[in-house]
Amino acid sequence: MYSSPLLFPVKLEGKNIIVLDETLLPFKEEYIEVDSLKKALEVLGSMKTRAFGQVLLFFYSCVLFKEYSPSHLSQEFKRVRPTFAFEFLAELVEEEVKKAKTIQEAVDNFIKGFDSLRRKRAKRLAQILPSFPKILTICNVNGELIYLYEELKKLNKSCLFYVSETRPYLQGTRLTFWELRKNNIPAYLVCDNQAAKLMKEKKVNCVITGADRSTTKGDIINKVGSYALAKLAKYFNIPFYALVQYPEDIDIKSIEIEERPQEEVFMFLEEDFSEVEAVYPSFDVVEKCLVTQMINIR
Amino acid sequence: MRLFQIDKAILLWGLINEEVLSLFKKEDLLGIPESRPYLYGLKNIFFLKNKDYNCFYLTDNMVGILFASGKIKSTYIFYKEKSDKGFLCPSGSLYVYLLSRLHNIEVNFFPQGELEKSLDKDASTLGGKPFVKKEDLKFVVLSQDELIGTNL
Repeated sequence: MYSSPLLFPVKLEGKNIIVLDETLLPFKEEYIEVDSLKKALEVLGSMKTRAFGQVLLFFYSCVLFKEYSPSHLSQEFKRVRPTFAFEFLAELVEEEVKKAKTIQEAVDNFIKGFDSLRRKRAKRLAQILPSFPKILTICNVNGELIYLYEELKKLNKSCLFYVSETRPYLQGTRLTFWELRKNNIPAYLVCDNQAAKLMKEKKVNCVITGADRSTTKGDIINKVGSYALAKLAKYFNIPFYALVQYPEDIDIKSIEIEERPQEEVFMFLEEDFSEVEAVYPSFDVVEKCLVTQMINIR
Repeated sequence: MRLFQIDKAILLWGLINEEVLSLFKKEDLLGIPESRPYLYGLKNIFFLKNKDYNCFYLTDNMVGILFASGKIKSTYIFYKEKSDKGFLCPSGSLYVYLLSRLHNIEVNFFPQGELEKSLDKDASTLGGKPFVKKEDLKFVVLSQDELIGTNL
């Protein structure tokens, strides 16, 4: 049985939200208790959780901090992480509440349904991939590559992952490579800049990423570094697949790209960088022309 | 520093050779990628800063967004060896070279500066600090020199 704490990195336990501190992985698996909106926003802003974790954090904040409407909470979350569509999550909660008795029931229903959809999405992707996919990936898609591996096995397809380290936070190294190796799944770790060499030497035959946002036209926004992979993949005729959820009918260029504080570029390094200028755009836009196929959650 | 503040920057990849500086003006904006795993970018940025050059640091995976948004005007790659087959360059150079070319940015090759021993040889460590469990070290791909051939 394969598993990863990253599949559900945020949980609701009684009157607390329990958040897996992703910044401490892979050497420490520690959880943070969140009992106020202020704390939730702190956890979000300091990248203790991200991706599906921030979705769960938002949903459970709707359950616990009932004094605020989902819409108000989405604005607070958006202030901290501007690229993600928290306003869309608020709409989802409000829709679900109409069908359920309580916000908690609505959220529980949504999360249960979403996980089932993730498994189905992995199954559909497994069917598309070749008989021996050699997959280059970046950042972390919260355990869904484990689902993908399971589905590939069911189809008697062998598989190999190359994980791009994903500077500066090293989510590729600390999260994806860790969770794959923890499950004894064949995976190799590379520096972000080794992608071109891997492609040139035909060591990878597809690229798979997640997507923080996507449009109905076929564009995505994902972790910085995704654009370079897509551009190089196109050059080497390697398909680029993006796992997306709820594409929006918007212009991708209207989405604000979050720029993180420059000191975070030097994450994990110990010199004094106070005099050094740096940039840290968190996300890349990958336009439709570089995306072979979006694999939607529904 | 924010992206909007970057315009027509010169990207310097690999170990800077001091002689190249004669080609730049102090007002030129120099973009210095980290250059993993060796972190040559750290050495470069402090070296340039000490000489009062206008420069900024970025991680390697951020070069794509700079090219895509038209913020780079030229690229310099510092090579180890030159031969009939092309330029032998440090790990990651092909990534920077191809991204430059795919965005129609001119690439200049220059011999690299003095090599210093790096604490890192692959993605398992950063500045000597380990990020991979011992039992998984055999699954880390060693960084190797890359040949940028005359055919590319």
